[in-house]
Amino acid sequence: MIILTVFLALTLGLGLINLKNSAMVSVEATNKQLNNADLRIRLSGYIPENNVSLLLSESEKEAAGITDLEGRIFEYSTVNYKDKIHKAYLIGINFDNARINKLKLRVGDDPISDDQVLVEQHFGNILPLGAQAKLNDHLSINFRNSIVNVRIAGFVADSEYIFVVDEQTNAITLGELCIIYIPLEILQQKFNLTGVNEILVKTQERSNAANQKADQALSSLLGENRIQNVIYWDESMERGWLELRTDAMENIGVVFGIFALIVGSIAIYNSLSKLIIAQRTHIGLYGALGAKNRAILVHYTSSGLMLGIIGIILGWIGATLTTFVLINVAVSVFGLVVITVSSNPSNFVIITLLAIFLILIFSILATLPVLQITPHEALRAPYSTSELGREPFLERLLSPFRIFKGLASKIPLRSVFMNKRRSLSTALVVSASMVILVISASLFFDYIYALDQNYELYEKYDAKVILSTPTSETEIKQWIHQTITGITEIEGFVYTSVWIGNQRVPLQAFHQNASLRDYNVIAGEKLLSKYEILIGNNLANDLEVKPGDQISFSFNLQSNLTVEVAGITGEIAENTILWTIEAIQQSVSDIHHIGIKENVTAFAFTFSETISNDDKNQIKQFIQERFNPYVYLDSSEAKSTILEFLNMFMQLLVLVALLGLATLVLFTFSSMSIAMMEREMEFLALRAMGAKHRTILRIIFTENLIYGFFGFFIGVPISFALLKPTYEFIFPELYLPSVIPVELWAFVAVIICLCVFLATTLIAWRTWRSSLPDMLYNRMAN
Amino acid sequence: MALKEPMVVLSDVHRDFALGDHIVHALRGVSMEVYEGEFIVVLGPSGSGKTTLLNQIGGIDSPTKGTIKVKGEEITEWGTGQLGDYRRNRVGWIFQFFNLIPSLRAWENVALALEFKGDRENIKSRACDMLKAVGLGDKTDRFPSQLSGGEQQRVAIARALVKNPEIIVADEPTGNLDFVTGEKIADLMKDLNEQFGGTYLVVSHDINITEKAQRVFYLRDGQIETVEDHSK
Repeated sequence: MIILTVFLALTLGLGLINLKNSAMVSVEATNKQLNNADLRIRLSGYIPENNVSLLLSESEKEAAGITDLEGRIFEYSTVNYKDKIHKAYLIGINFDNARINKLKLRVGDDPISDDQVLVEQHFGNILPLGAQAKLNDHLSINFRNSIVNVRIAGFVADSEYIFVVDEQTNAITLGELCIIYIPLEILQQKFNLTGVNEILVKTQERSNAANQKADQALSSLLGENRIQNVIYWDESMERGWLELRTDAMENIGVVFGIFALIVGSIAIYNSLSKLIIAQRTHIGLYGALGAKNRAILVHYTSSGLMLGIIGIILGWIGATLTTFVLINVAVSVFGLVVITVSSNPSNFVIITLLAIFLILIFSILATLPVLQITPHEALRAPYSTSELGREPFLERLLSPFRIFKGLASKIPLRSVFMNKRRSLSTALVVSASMVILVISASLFFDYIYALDQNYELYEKYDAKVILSTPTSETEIKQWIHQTITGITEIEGFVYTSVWIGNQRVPLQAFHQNASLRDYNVIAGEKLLSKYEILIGNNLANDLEVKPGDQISFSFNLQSNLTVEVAGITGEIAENTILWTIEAIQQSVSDIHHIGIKENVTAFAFTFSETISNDDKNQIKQFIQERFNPYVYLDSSEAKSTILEFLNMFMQLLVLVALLGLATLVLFTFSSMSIAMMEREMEFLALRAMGAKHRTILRIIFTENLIYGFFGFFIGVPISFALLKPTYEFIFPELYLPSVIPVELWAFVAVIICLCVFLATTLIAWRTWRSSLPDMLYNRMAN
Repeated sequence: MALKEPMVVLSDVHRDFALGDHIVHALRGVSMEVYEGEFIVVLGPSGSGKTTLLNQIGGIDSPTKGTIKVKGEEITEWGTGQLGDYRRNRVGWIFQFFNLIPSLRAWENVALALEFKGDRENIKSRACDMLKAVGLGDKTDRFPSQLSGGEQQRVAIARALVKNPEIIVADEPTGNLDFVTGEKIADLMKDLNEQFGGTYLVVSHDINITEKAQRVFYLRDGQIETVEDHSK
């Protein structure tokens, strides 16, 4: 029992804690193997040289800190795959001689004919999310008004697209964005292109300073006006995203590992207490033979410690296996080329020392009663001689009920109160195990709940369209009313980005009286005016602002606007500034050039209730044809995409919840069993007196039920008290409502009742099946 | 004059136990008769089968071979349910280690025997009367842990007698008590035997009890070696 307890605690805790380190090391190793660019220079047009390495001499490269240059074609386009339009990147590289943009073929073969292409693995069925395209499937590439049909020859990994971030929206679009790799010359032929439009740069030192130096050298060579934009290979965003998730996993590991260790420690206490009681006569005998109490104490404490250390060693193995399974599940969506299990040595040492410390403390606490056992008393009295002052409150409370009138009914009620320490430790095991289950299951439900709330109460529209060019809201509404049926309400809004210092953040501005958008204000007030904005919780944390603070931002990096943060929102869009169209129009003088003085950049609408899926698809098609939007997002699809994307995290939460359930069942059941086993002699005496089977069964059941009852009611306030701090610890940058669903309490109560039933059955079965004469004889002989 | 019928008749009773690969023959063909109201003591060295014999008569165990009849009923044919009824209604057990329920007061321990029997009328007063009869009238509300060893054994005796059993079975009732207390318990049992009747079968090494027995059965290697009749 002690070994199992420690093993489970370490397997769960250390296994989850190792996950972060393992994920980060795996990403690093994948990047290293695929050797991606440090700097991408996107040109405004094509330069004729295919071999851009020759643009700079070796000495110029060295002076600029550049180690290598490689040219490629990079174009935005769309593909039609199975009648669905996907955004696409067309990338033309020299497959055979690629030194920077290396690809790792995961499935299939290199293209052998002009109509074959390689596709980034997330779009394929080799990874869990998205389009699930298969080898040899056909794609129609729509580029510059020409449509070219190609076949998928293979799926490849490219470390630049581990997280598949849409460069235009910064959204992570795993499996929806189709990244197509075509041999450079074939791409040039197909679309009549000359040269390349992007230069990949490797620098000596992988730092921003080195990137800037290289950027300056190439800008002066090519001329500023030939450069459309420069993308520094900045892993920090993706790393930040992964770190956020893996931090959460690590924190889950810390929380549940510590919980599991506490539950385990109490279980160790129970097991050792049981051992002391079972060996009471032996202890008396040791004393009678002259052994010192201290020696007996050390003997039993070291027994607990030894067993605990065996559990720790097994726990290390269990933790490694857990991390291995979790890392494979957790990063499966990213398609990492290298997956490594790695442990942070300090975590490893801290958890191990904590486990040893807790085992030692609880072993000492459990064995301390040894000091009070005198040889005379231990060798004479067969079992505990606890006293009871007066009838416990529960007995007086229940005594009016007929079922509790009998003397046999008083036995379980009084036993609980006569052995307060044993009863408390049993109830605490139930509580602590229950807290693990409640918090882990609530995490799972609250994630779903937050999503539901977001789309039902705040983003009340059924679909939103982000336009590629600002358009008049009146024109949009007129066109929709004239052309489309099945749309009930339309509202235009502004979706753009603003600069806060050097950081670009999204801004959404609906009308002051918008009916399709509301805000979940979790701090401050819901004020949106010329001078006041709302800000997403996550962004507020990043910027370290709170309600009442002033912040400055600009649309074009030139003129800053200063507004007050009226409130903080806790929604899915946590990185967003929320304002109103009216406030923008009143406040911003130089917005003409970005086209939002009279226009909107997006619109949202609701479908009529009776609309069919076919009609929805047709509406989407009409809108795409008319407006050619960046994004057309159906809320129900968005929700399911988010859920699907969060799937790996969900799996982890389900796993933790299942472990919580197992902890509850295992520890509750075993603690109840241990609490009752020490009273076996009492039950045997009842049997010898002719007590009926059901009488003994009722005594055991009632006592276990009381443990379960107390455990449950101690666990309820503990769960409530710990839920919010646990969420804040696990997801410091994410707003989650801390709600424990009522159904969960019912579920937990049912599980506890099941444990009560199981423990009762086991003890009753043992008591009934054991040979009465043998047991009486053996116990007396002891 | 008609001959007095024996209350308990054991005929060729055997009891074997499996001990690992070995079979231990605890009783090897014990035959004996016990008459109503008798105070019988069973003596014998350790391992001679005394407790096993008592368990057979007290309905805790069943023989491997042979028959036991109580008032003409063959209890060896009964299942666990009927043996439970038998222990509940007709047998009073007294153990060496008292085996009181620690969470119940003295009177409640005594009354529990009545409750199991389903005889709940005036349950408290009858339990207290019985405790008074064993000399614990002033300690009826005490818990077992608040009583001395001798007092606990008195409670156990009261518990065995309160339901007016036909047979009182006592396994080393003074084995866990000092000499003086043991003597008092032995006197008490004999007095109660005379005062309330009942048939006593007592396993004991205690000279105090042996002296008070009407008959003493000597057991050796699972067989009755000799019978001493003190009543003559």
